[in-house]
Amino acid sequence: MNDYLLAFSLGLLSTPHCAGMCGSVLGALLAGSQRQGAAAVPIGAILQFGSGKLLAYVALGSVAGLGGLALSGGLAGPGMVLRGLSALLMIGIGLYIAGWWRGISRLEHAGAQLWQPLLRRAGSLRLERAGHRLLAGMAWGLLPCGIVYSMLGLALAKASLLEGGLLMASFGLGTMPFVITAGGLLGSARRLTGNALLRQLAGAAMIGMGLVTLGMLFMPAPHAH
Amino acid sequence: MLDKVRTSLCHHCQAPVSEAERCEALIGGTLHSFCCQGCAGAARLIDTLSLNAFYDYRASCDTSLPASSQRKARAVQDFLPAVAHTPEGVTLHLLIPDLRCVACVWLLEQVLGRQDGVQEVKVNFARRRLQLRFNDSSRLPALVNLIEQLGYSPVPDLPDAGREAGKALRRAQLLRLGVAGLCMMPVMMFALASYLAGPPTAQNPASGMDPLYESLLRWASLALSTPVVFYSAAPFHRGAWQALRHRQLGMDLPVSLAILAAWVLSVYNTLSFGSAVYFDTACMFAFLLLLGRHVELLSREHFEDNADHLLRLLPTTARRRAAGNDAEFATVPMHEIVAGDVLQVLPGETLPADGVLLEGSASISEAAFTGEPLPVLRTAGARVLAGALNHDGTLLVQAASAPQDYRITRLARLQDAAMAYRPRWSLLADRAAGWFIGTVLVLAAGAGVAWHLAGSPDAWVIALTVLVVACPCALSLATPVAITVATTTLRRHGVLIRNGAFLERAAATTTVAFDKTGTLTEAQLQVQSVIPLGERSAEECLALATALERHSEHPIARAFATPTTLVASDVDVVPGGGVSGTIDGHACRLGQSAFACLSEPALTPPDEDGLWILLCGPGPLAWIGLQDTLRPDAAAMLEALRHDGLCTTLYSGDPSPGGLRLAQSLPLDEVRTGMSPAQKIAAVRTEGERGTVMMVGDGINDAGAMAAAACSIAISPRDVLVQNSADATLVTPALLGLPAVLRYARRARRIIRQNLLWSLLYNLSAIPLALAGLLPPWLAAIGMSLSSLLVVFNAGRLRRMEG
Repeated sequence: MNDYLLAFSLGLLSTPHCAGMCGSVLGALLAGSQRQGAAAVPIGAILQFGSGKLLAYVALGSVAGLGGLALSGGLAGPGMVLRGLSALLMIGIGLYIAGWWRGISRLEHAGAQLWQPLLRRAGSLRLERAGHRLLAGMAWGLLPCGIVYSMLGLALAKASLLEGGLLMASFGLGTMPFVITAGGLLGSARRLTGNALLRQLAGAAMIGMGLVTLGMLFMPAPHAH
Repeated sequence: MLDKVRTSLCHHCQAPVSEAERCEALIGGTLHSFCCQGCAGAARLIDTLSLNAFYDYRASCDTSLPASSQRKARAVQDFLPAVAHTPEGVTLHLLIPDLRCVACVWLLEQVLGRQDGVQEVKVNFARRRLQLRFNDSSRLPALVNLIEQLGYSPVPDLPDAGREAGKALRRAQLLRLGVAGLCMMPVMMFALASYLAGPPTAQNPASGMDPLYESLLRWASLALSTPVVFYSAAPFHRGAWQALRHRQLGMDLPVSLAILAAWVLSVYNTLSFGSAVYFDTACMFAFLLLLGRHVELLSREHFEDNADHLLRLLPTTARRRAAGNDAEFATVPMHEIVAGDVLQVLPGETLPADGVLLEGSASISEAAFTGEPLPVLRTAGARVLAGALNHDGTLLVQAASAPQDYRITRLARLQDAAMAYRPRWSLLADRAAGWFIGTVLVLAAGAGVAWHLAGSPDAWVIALTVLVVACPCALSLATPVAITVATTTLRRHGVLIRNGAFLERAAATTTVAFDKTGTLTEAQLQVQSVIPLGERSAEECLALATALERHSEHPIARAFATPTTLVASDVDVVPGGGVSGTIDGHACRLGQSAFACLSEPALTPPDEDGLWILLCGPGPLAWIGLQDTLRPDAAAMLEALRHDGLCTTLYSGDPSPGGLRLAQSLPLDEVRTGMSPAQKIAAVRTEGERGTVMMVGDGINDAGAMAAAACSIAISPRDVLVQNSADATLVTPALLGLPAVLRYARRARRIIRQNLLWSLLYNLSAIPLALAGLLPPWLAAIGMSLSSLLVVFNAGRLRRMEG
């Protein structure tokens, strides 16, 4: 499967995890940005917060891609290590989505430390302003999240600024249906993702792809260049 | 339990917190627990952005409710009607009136979604509906209990459950239809190919299709038709089997048998390289019959208008005035309303309770009851009904009863009962259908054997065609569909049917017998004159009369409204006589002279127009003259009835010559006055021997005569809250509604008869054709579906009152 399609579907599949957390964040942000007696559905504000979130993901992805490039130096050897790491992360996300092992959530602890300094700057945001809503959305996108960090592992393996950003953009777009409907699609999303069998299938597919990626590292390429 | 649920939920996302991943954070000075670092971070972000009010707002949602101990716990069986069994599982439909914000939606979805066996939780915030799907109906009590422990008051949502069940049925049927259609097309194509190639002939064994290809096509057809026979046609097999288990020959039996027989025969011929296969016939039967059934289901739903259900008119919540604080109103779910509650109704809202208007005035339309959409002005002191629409005033209404006793709730129950009514001959038709099916089975088998012996290659196809064409579906649909449509239509025009037999009997009516007071007259009697006979003055007499009549429901009682402090005890209301009671130690009687005056020979009333009643206490005190006026459209109504060939009679309890004169001014065929209730009953019985009598009255004083008549209708009771005993009630004030109802009943009868005639004609003419082998199988399947559809559409014509 195409990596971008994979990232997009992961974004979609993360909805049940996201519903409680991101839904509450969006609820609070909207409550803060809405003037009394405003229109029932503040589409503009939702889109601004959502774009901020997407921008944050793209920025993170680009940085990860660039980091991957720097680490591997465009060379095959270190590149192999990154691909191996990314394969392991894929297996980790698979286990997480299927609900068999939640080790990935430990990444969040690490991320939470990095996130603290950023938080202090968020205090000065005024949510009535469109630009500030974009920034608040970015802060939202940077919240510690196991799935995002795993995706960043994949972006790292891309070892390209552009491709890393694109990968994270695909993931972010996958989470958008939920954001745009402000939780309105929750019911139908849950029908798809709440199904344990479907989640386990998705997780198993993810693990399978991780294993294949891993396997390919140790197999001699049929046509050496 | 509730506290445990609360503390084990993540402060941010409200998901249960697992001990392994639990983390804590200081937010706004309080230590909260979170399910993950992400949520802790999110809470910090929200705190930093000074949006903590969001949590407070959210928390206030599910704790602001009154203590749940106060609430009457609803019995689990209350929820059973709100459960729909679908192929995917058990779906429970709830209305949660106290679902106040999106956070409540999350809480319910998170907590319920994690319960064992719960497959789907759908919360519709705007409509305050919760739809819960789970695998086993035994979980129902626990789930309802959990919702209550979370602080909500779930109410079974019946109309939705019904509609949802209908939707699920429709979806499943559409899928079966789709499978049948998709599989049928290639099977028909294969059949056509092998038909065009023709069979190998004796002269040229090599003609026709190569046996290898022939066999291949047969196997392909076998594979494609199997899902059609066993999945698409499953409802037919199931229906047939269920009837058989109850030792009955059901409607589905011939169809199921035809499809299975065609398939089994074909499989046998495929395996044994036999002469012919009928896979195409089996598929086509299944497809066309399913198509017919689907269209029938859709149109029935359309005509029966589920969305029109009365209870949907009621609001889900009401604003109740807090005890002890007149200015404070709390929103409460409907089912918590009890008699005596004071409720606030804002402009544009639907009234939540039956009761008395305490404050304010407004234009109120009671279209649900009267069919009359134009609003009527109601002022303080007026009686109002739940389900009526308040157009323009802010009102305070004091509830007179709990919701289960509302007029509209009772009407909905009556309507359901009336719709379920099956006329005697309809039940007879059902019983006859069993014999009919038995005969058809024998006929089909006989035809198959006979044609086989005659050497016809189509012998078995003919037998199958007979089976399909003879299904008496139309016959069994003919009556119930029409009755359902008619009941709904009449209700929409202000005619409420209590007894399902009303329609049938109203159509047969030859004589309409009227009560006078309150039916042909306005029943707004007024005191015209008082002639004192004893030492008491006219005013004193009126005060005595008022004290007595306060205890009577009779229309006469309304004429007495003199302010008085006198109180009557030991009051006894004698129908057709009057009222007796004790006032200040005097035994007082008021009514017809024969009733009022016990000791002396009956006095003759003054020879003047109007109704004269005598007041005694105990000696004669006064004659009181009352005058009633005719309803403006009484004459026109009677003319219309006469025009329709109906005989009209008047049975009045009023003995006065004035009443007689009033009655004689009307175009009536017979007038009898001064009748006691017993005499009225006897008269109705006598009349009933010559024809079918419909008694028309106000449903209270003439209950006996109404019961004696074949059918009865109460006309425009002044107070629709009063329970009356008539088979039907006409709530519009226009008397001309009566001839319209009778005409409608006759039309309904005509349409039912057309339906029955059509289905009989169809079956009787199609069977011989099929037996003779003149009817191709596809035509049989289409014919059978069309005959059912025709019956449904014909009943749909009853949606219009006139026509």
